[in-house]
Order: sequence, then C-alpha cells, then structure tokens
Amino acid sequence: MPLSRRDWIRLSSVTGAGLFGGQSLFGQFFQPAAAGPSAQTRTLVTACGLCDSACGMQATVTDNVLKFLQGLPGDQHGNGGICAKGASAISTAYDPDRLKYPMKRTNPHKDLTADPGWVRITWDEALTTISQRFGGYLSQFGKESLLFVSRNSPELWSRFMNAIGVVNRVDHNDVCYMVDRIVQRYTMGPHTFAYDFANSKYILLFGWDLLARNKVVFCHQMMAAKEGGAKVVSFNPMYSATARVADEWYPIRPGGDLAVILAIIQVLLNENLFDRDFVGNYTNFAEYEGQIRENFQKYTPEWAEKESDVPAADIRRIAREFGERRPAVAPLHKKTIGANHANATQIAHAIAVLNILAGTIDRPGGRYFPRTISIPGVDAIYPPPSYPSKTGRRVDGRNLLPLAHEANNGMFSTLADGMLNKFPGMIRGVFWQNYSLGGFPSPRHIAEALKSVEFMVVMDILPVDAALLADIVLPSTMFLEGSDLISRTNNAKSPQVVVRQPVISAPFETRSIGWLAVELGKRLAPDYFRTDSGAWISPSVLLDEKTKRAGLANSFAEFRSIGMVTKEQPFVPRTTFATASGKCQIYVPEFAQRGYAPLPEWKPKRDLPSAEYPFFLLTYIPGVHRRNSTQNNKVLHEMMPENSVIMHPSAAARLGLGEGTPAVVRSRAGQITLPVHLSQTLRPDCVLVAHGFGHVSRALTLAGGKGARDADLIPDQTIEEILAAGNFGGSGCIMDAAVAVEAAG
Amino acid sequence: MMTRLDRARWFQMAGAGFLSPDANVLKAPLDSLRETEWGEEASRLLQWLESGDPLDLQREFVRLFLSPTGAVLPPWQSAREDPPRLMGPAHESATRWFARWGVAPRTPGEPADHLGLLLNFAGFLLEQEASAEELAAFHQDHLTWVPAFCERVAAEARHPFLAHLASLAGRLTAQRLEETAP
Repeated sequence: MPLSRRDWIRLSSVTGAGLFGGQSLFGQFFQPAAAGPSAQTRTLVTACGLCDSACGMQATVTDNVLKFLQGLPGDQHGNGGICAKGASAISTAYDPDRLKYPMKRTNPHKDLTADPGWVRITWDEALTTISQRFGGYLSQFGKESLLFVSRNSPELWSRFMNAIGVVNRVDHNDVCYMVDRIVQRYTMGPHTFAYDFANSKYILLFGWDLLARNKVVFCHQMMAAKEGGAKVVSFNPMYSATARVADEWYPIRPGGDLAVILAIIQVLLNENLFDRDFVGNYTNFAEYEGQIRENFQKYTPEWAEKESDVPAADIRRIAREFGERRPAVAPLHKKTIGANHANATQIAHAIAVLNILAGTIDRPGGRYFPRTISIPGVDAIYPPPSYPSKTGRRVDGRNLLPLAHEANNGMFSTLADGMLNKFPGMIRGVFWQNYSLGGFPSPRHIAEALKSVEFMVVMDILPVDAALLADIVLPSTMFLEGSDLISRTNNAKSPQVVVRQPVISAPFETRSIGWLAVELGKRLAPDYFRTDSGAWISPSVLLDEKTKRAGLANSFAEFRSIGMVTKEQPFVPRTTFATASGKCQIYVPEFAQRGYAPLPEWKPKRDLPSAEYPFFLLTYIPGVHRRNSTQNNKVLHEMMPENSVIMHPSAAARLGLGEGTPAVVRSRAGQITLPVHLSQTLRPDCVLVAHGFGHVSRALTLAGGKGARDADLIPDQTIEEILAAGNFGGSGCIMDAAVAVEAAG
Repeated sequence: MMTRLDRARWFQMAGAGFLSPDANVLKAPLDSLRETEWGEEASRLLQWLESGDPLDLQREFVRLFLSPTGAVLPPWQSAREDPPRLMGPAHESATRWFARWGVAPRTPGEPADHLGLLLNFAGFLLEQEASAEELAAFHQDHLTWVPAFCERVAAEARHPFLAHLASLAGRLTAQRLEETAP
C-alpha cells in the first residue's frame, strides 16, 4: 500500500538515521519529499529564444514537465502566434541527446572521428581548469592568445569578456547582418529591423523572404500590408514564399539587385519623384546634391537590365510607382542579400538611399526605430572599474576593416585563414559557444584550425560538431529554462516588454552562460564581479534591479506573474537622426574620409558562373529550421530531415539528372553529394541548397550525417581578398559561389 | 532463495552502480552483499571495481550513458520508448510513484526515470514491504524494459564491472518480473 499522509509523517520522523542516513544506498540518492504528490497544471508567460523575434509564448506546465507551447495574445511580435520552431521547442528541451554534465577529454588526440575519452567532472573542476588555462595563456601569451567564438551577449558574458580584455571575440555577423548594421549606422542611425508594412502602400523586396523563414511578426505585417492595399514587388532568383504573395515577381539574376536599385534611384532623381519635404529637411541631399545626381546618372534602367535580366521598362515603371505611391519602403534583412555578396555593402547603402528618398525613415509605412522601455544594463547598475585595453592582434584581420571593427562583429569568413596562415599558433585557448562548424564558409578549414589549439571549451545545448574537438564540454540551459526581460523591437511603435522565465527547471547540471560569466569572473576578474558592498554579483538580484529600475514591477518575481507590460504612446516621428550630421545621410562623409565610396556604386558579385562552374549557388534557411540548430528536433526533423540540391527541370535534364538522382555539387571550395529535387520555382542558371544540414556529429541522433553542408561549397576568404574586392563592410559572401553539378558516381 | 531484504539491497546496489560507479559509494554495500546468496557475484564486482585504473571505469560509464559526443545507451526509460525523449510519461509516472511514498531524488535535475533511480526505488519498495500488488504495479510501470536494456549494456560494455553489473541487474529484474507477473 502506498503511504498515507500519516504514514509518510511517521516515515519522515523515523528515517533520519535509517533510510536517509549516511550508510543507506537509498538515502544517498533519495531524500524525504518536500510535499506530497501533486499534478498542478500552470500556464506561464515567457518569450521564445530561438530567434531574435523572441515571440511571446504561453507555456502549459504540469509538475515541472512542459506540455504545450502556444502564442501570447497581445504580444506585438507573435500577435498570438508562434512558428513551428517555437512550438516544437519542447522537443529540444527533452532531446535525449542534450548535453547533461561537464565533461573532460582524456584522449589528447583531437579528430572529428576519434573517441575523446570523456570523463565527467564537477562544475568546480571545470571552472578551475578553465580559469587556470585561460589565466595562464593571458599572463604568458597576452590577450590575443584567447579566441571566443561567441555572441556579445548576454550582458554578463559581455562584461566577463571585457573584464579579461578579450581581443579576439568572433561572431557570425559577417555572414548575417553586419553590413546592414554598418551602413544603417552611417545613413540613418541605430540598426533596426522594424518596418511599418501595415501602413505601406508600396513595398520593394530585394531577396527579402521572411515569410519563408516563418518570422511570424513579419508574416503578420506583410499580410496586413496586402489587406491595406499595398503593392508588393519581389526581386528574387526563386519564386519564394514571399514572392507568392507579391503582385509582381522578377526572377532576378543573383547579384543583379544592386543594378536594379541603382537604376530605380536614377529614375527617382531624374524625375524628382522623391519626397522633397523629407529629403529637404531631414537629409544631407542639398549639401551633396551635385555629387549625388552625378553618381547615379550612369545607372540607367537599360544598363541595369543587362546586369539583372529585369526589363528596363519594368524598372522604370516600378521606380515611378515607388516614387508616387507613398508611403513606400524597401526592407532589408539578414542573410537575404545583405550579407551574402561581395557587393553587399553597396546593396545595403543603395537600399538605405531608396528609403531615404521615399521619405519613410521613422515615418508611417517605412523603416522606423523601435520605441522601447529603457532597461538599465549591468554596467549601469554595477559600474565596473575601467576595462583593460584590448591590445593584441586580431586573428581574423577585422582591424583592417575599420567599420567592421567599430561594429564589433564578425568575422567567420576569415577566421580559418587567420588561425592557419596569418597567425599560426597565436590562439592557445578557445571558448566556443552555441555555434556550429557548418555556420562557417568552408567549415573543414575552421575544423582544421581548431585542432591546432591547445585548449578548447565548448558550451552548448546539444552535442554540436565542435564538441568533438573540445577539451571541456559544458552543458547549457536553453531559453525555456532561463530568465530575462525582452523588449519588442521588430514591431514596436509603442514600447512593450515580455518576460522570459524558466517554465521548467534546468535539467541535469545545465547552467546558463550568465551564470558561467559570474563564476569565471570570480576567478579571473573578481573586481568586475563584486557589487559596492563587496558581495558577488548575483544574476537574480541583477534582474530584480533591472525590473525595478525599468518600472516594470517591484521585482522580477512580480514581473513573472504579470508577464508583459505595454506602454501605449503616440508614434511621434523623429526629426533628428543619430548620425554625425543629425540627418539621414545619402552621401556618407565618413565613408569618403576612410577612402570608401561615399555613395553606392556598381560592383559585381565575387563568384560568377564560368565554363567550369556554370551555376549560381543559392542557399536558404528553411522555414521549419533555425539555421543549423534545430535539425535534431524530432518534430522539425520529421518535417524536413535533410536537404537536396534543387534545380530547374530544364537544367537538370541537360545534365541527365532527374528527381532523386544523386548529384555531386562542386565549387572551388569543395563538393557535396545530394539528391536532386526538381522545381520550376528558380532560375535555370541557379541551384539551391538548404542551409543547416550535414552535421558531422553522430551524437545528434537524428541530424548526424543527414544531408550535406551548403557551407562546404562556399569559399572562405582572406582579409586581402575582402579589401581587394572593395567589400569594406566585410560581407562573408555566403551566397557568393558558383558551382557545377553532375551525376554522382 | 534470496531473502526480500537481500534482494532489496541488491536492487539498491545495482541502482547506485548505474548512477555512480564509484568505489567510495559501492565498496561497503558490496562488502556486505558478499554474505548474500549472490555473494560470489558481489566479490567479483568488488574486485573489478577496485582493480585497474579508476579512470577506465569512469570513461566507459560516460561512453555508455552520458557521452557529450554520443552515448551508446541513454539510461532513461523515456529515452528507450518510441519516440525517444527525456521527461516523458515514464518520468511523470516515476515522479508520482516517488511522491506517493514520500520521497524524491536528491538530484533535482535528474529525470525520475533514470535506470539507477528506478532500481534503487524498487529496492526501497521491497525494504518497505510494499504489497504484492504495489510491487507488481511498479514493476509493470517501470521495470519491463530493464532486462533487455541490461542485456545490451552487458554486450556493449568494455569494462567488466559495468558488464557484470548490467548482467546481474538484468537477471535480478527479470526474476522479479516473473515472480510478480499478474
């Protein structure tokens, strides 16, 4: 019989020295329960953490087991909806492959196929070892000897890296949005992805395809735009999900976007079809009018047709429509075109000019700056001593690209060259967090580079490929187990903050990166992790303080129960902009001062088709996957388990390839083998490969060995190649490859 | 015929072995089990536990059950079901079992359906003189997968302690399943 409450009390009172005593094997692993059985079901508000949309969620939890995730009504991003990736995050939380405990390698031979000989260690041993190794490298070889492949967040982690003076922090943003961030900073102000599509009347999309990416906030907005009568024109080599809702689709030649945008600007200027009030009052057009008009004069629609395959008459008509049907906007987003070509900086600049001429910067129907609640950061709450200078050589050569250096992003595409060729042996210790080798162009190069480092730590949720090369593996919590305050940014004409709270307990011995920052900080930079009272900074106390100072609630616990705060306020358009001149800058003097083109000018793509490699390579991120991090999710794996090489039927037929035929795809960087999938939705001179597949690690039970890495086809770069190409924004050029295709075997 | 209490101690030792194959934890219990019907088995386990490089045992334990680059046999009941997962119905059921008996695992992050916890709790039920119906119910809920799993561990293990531990745990569980079958 199970114990009654009375029996249980009796048991508890008599078993202190028996069942639960030191000699009892049972007592070593069990203890008296704090409470009797319960089956309480709760619904908790939280925010997704899979992408930076961070859609609001409602989590249904029974006895600390997550049962269901759904959208949060009233959330400005998800508007009550979430995507398949967010909804199926439960499967990642409960993935049997999750990293569970800190582990240490005992086999010194590092190879992607060798058994590392893992043994379990305590967190204390892990922290001590990491501190001793990293501390030793810092004192013996200087700050340049450490490489952190990691985002610059959360802020406690950023503080830790600043506190020890990390010179070489590298993130993925050169293959993401760095170029747009740089350009936007100098043309209009802080970077934003916020567009007021619902009030737009004309939307020009250059590669922008966020409907296919399942970005809920943008899906809702694009549908609102259509309902509001906006005309949508899509330029994309493939008939994408977004192109399907467009009024017009042009299968543009890859890299030809820049030509079309330049020609549209030419028409707008020649026919004075721009917003004269906005351009006159809030831009530097008048100051540089002569140079501006002269710069674009040569970019006629007829010229652009030759570079893009878009008919000149259509370019001219679209330009006129864009100039006349106001408000108009041309959005740009990560990994569409902005990051992907050697001419990405010019594309981002040209798109900025389009939007400035449309007069819709921070105006209804345009690109605007999100209105947010000010949440103080850790350095405001606990002011640190002066951070040490970051002296040392940049392994990726980013210092030769001053604008990228200033942006403090990147660079994946040059890292392997730096480690293997420019500065061999310089990097002694690596901290690698939440990145996949497949996120790098030419991932085999970065894998080779990592083998040469003496000591490498990998922290992640799942056993990513890089873990195979680690000396210490640390298990990370995921967003469902973490806490934060999340400001709305992509749809925030009024400020809104949503809570992120642990809807389930952290499993096993997983820890957050913020916790790790404090623990390593105590050991390596203690002065930066104490409060004025001398106590160690506590992430939970910090969160309480931020909550209070932001006026969200009296404590984080209270805000957890509230879930979301919205402060309705009228949208008042800006009249000054956060640039050096205080105006939107069509002509960018800062670019000129550095020897770069101050106005966008034509540059071709880096890799163009040739006799040897006759196809443009296009890559895309499928809507059901988050880059390369969700392929092991059971639900998403069922929806899309592997990738294929997608070809137009006419192109495939010329090569004797049919549906399902195994094909070898080759570029100057490498080759992969995938089955062919025929589709009439892309240009015959393009082949398309989904990103995110081809994980090497068989520890990813579902994803390991499935499909192939698009990145193996994409050349990495040297910093000299970037400079020679005039790619001053440092684009990683992940869509700048040409390939050949042939039947396998 | 092994006594009920001896059987309970064997279950608890096996459970502990799958949770922490550490001489500091297992030496005394194994010493005391040498007096039981399977005394020779206890001696063998003790010998394998204490001989050789302890790191070899730790490495093999991680390789089999916890490897961050691919465990051979994840030891959670939910991970053995279709589809494999963590914190599945078996975890919830085990949590309820523990709660009804007024106990909880000391490691809150460990799913309740870990093989080691289940075997240990099976020993606890025997020790507490749970009714035949209760025992049968727990065995049906949580031990039916164990013999086959232990057979695989015994076949895969490259360390004699783990191979023999799995073999014994499989036999012990199979016997109980047979004895308590409805």
